[in-house]
Amino acid sequence: MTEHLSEQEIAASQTPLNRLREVLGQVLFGQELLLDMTLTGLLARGHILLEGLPGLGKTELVKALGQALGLDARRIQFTPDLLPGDITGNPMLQERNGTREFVFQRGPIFANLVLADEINRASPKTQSALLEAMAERRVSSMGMRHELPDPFFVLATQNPIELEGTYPLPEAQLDRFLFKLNIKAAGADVLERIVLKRRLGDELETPAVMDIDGWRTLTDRVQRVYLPVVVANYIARLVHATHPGQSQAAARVKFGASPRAAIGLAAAVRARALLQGRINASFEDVQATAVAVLQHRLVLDYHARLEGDTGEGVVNALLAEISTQGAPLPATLKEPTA
Amino acid sequence: MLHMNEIDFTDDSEGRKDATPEGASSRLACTYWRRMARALARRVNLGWLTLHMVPLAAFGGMALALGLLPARKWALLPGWLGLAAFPLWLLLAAVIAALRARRHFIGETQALARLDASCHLHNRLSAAMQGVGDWPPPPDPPPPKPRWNPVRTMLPMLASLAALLLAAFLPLKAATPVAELPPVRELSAWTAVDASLELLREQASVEKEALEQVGEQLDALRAQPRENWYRPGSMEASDHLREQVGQAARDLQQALNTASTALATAASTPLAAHERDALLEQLGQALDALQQGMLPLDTETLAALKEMACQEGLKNIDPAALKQLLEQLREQGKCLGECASRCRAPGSGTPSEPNGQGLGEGQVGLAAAEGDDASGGVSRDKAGNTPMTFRPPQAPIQAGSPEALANRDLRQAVLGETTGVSTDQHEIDRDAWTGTQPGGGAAAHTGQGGEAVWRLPVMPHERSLLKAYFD
Repeated sequence: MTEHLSEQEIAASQTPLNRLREVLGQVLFGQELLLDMTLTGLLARGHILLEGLPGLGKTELVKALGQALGLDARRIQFTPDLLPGDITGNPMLQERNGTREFVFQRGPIFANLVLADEINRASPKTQSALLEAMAERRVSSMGMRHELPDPFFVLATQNPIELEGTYPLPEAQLDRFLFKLNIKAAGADVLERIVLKRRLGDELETPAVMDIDGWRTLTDRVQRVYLPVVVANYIARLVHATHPGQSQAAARVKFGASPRAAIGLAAAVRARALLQGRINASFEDVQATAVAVLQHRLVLDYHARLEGDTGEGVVNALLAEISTQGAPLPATLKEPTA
Repeated sequence: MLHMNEIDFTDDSEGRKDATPEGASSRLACTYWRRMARALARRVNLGWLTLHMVPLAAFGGMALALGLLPARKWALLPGWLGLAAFPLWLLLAAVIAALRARRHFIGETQALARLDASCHLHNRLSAAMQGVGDWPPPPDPPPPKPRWNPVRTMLPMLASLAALLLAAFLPLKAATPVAELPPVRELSAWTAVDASLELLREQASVEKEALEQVGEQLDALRAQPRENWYRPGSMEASDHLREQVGQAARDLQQALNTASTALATAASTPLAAHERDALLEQLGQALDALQQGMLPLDTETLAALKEMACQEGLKNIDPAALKQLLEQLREQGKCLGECASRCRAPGSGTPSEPNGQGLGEGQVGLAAAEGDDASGGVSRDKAGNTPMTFRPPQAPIQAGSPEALANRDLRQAVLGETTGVSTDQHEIDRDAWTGTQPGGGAAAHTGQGGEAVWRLPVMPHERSLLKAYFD
C-alpha cells in the first residue's frame, strides 16, 4: 500500500513549486489561474489542450515550462499537409557494413514536452498519430516499439475562431487530453505591464528551477496524496451525472464522460492538493478542476450546439446540481446558514 | 451545543494516551470533532425518521378522527379511546418510518464530510478519521447545525392532533337505531298452492308425480330474488299456477262425483239395458277424466274404480266393497273441494259456485262489460290497465304482428343495407392519353438553374432554431 504524504514532504514540495510559479509568472502576466491549472495538469502527468486566440502566450508558456523544468521541449506546427511520420519519425533505409537495413529516425515527438501548435489544422490521420503516443507514451513503426522519454507531455493548442480548413479533434483524441484550458484575454492593467516589460522579438530566458529528477519526485508525491472516500464518491457521482438522463444539467448531453475522465479527475484533484500544500484531496479540488477535465469530453446534442451551450456551461451546471454530500438533507431540516 | 470544557480527553478513540501537549491537543480535537459528527448524524437521521413518520402519523390521526366521529355518534366507542389509540399509532408509525428511512441514515464518516464542507476544512476531517494528518483545532464559534423545518415537522402533527381532539370532544347527538324493516311476505297464491299440495299429499288422493311437478313450479317461483317476487310477471305466474291447481282440483272432484253417482245408481236400482249402457258410458268418461289433467287420481283408487266398472256391466257389484269405495271417493272429493276453495282467488266467487264466475275474476264490477283489458282488478295481484272509461274500445295496435318498414332516412342506414342502385358509369376522358411517356428513371423535368432539387424536411422547432441561428 502506498504510504501517504507527510506534512514534511508537503512542505518540501512547496519550495520548488512556489519558485516555479514565480518564474512562470514572469513569463505570463495576469494568468495565475492558467499557470496553476497547467502545473496541476503536468503534475497529474496529463496532456493539456490549450484553446485561445493567437498571441496570448501559449507558445511562450510551453517554452518557459521546458526551460524551468529542465525538460527537452519541442514545437510542432500542425498543417494540413503534415504526415504522421513527420511527427513520430520514419524508418530510413541505410547501408551498414555492406547490408541495408531500416533505421528508425526519431521525429520531434521524442521530447519531454511537445507543443502541438494548432493541432486542429492537421488531418485526422496525422492527429491520430498522436493517439498511441499520448495514451501509451510510445511510438510503433514497422512493428517496432519506441518508448518516449519520461516525463512526456503534449501541450496542444487550437484556435477557436478560424474554423475553415481545420479538422475537429476526434472524441477519442480529446479524451486523451487531461485538461482543456481556455485562455482568456488579459485586462488593461495586465496589458500595461506587458507593454512595459516586453519588446517585440525579445527572446525570454527562463531560469531552471528544477531538473527532471526533481520533477519526477513531485509527480511521485502526487500519487501519494490521500483521496478520501467521500471525495472519490463525489467524483464518481459527478462523472456519472454527465450522462444523459442522470441529471438535469446533462439533459442535452448526447454522450457523457468516460471512466478515463473519472480517473483523470482523481489525478487532477491529487495534483491540485499538492500544489495547494495539502496532504489530502478535497471537494474544493474537484470543483476547481472539474471544468478543465470534463468540458471537452461531453458530446452535446444538436439543440444544445445550436443554442450555444458549451461543455463548460454543462459542467458548471452539474457542479451546482450535484451536492458534495452523497445524500441530501431531509426536507425536515434546513441547511445551516453561515 | 458542545463546549470545550465538557470534553473528556483522557483517552482518544484508539485508547492510547499521550502525555505531550500536542498529543493532548490532538486528542481534544479528535474527541470534539467525532462528538460533533455523531451529534450531526443523529440529527440528520432523526430528520429522515421524522420525514417518513410525519405523513404516516398525520394521515393516521386524520383517519382516526374520521373514524371516531361515526363511532361516537353510534355510541360504539368513547372519545377518550380514540385519543388513547393515537400514541399507539405513533409508535407503530415510528417503527414503519424507521424501516423505510434506514437507507438514508448517515454514519460518522458522512457526518464528518458534512462538517468538512460546512467548515471549509478541505476534507481534513475525513483524512484525519483515516489516520492521515492531524485533526484540525475546534473552531470558534462551533460549526452551525442543520435547523429544523417546523412547517414540515410540527404543522401536520398539530393539524392531525387538533382534528383528533375535535373528533373526540365535539358534542354529537347520538343516532337512534333505525327499525328493522319487516321481511318480505310470500305471495298469497304460493301459500294457497302450498297448503293445497300439503292437503293432497296427506290425503293421498292424487298421483305423487303430479304433486311433485306442481311443487317444482312453486319452488321455481320462490327461487327468484326477493325483489322480483312482486314484479307483474311473477305475480301473474303465481296466480296462474293457483288457478291451474284450483281448476284441476275442481275437475277431479267433478269427475269423482260423476263416477260415484254412476256407481251408486247402478248398484241401487235395477236398470234397463239402455240406461245401463248410458251409465257405463258416463262412468267411462269419468274414468278418462280421472286419469288425465294436471292432477290425475291416485293409481290405487283408479284401479279399484276400473275393476268395479268392469264387473259384468255393473250387475254383480259387491255392496260392501261398493260402499267402502264410495266412502273413499267422498272423502277424496271433500279434500279436493277444500283444495279448490283454497286456490280460489280472493273475490273470485263463493265456494258454492264451483266454476268461480262471481264478481272480481279479473274484472271490476263497473267495467264488467268491457272486460278484455281488465286483467288487473283492485283485489288482484295482476298488473294491467283498469278500464275506468265508458268509451268504446279502440282499434287494436296490432302488437306482435310484423310489418315491413322502409328506411327513408339514409343517415340511419345500417351496415349491409342497400341504400340505392344506380346504372351510371364513371366519366372518363378517353382522349386524354397523348402518347408514350418517358420510361422509368428518365427525368420528366430537368429543372432550371437555381431551382431547388431537394428539400430538407425539418420540424417546426428545428426550423425556428435554424432561423434563430442564421439570423
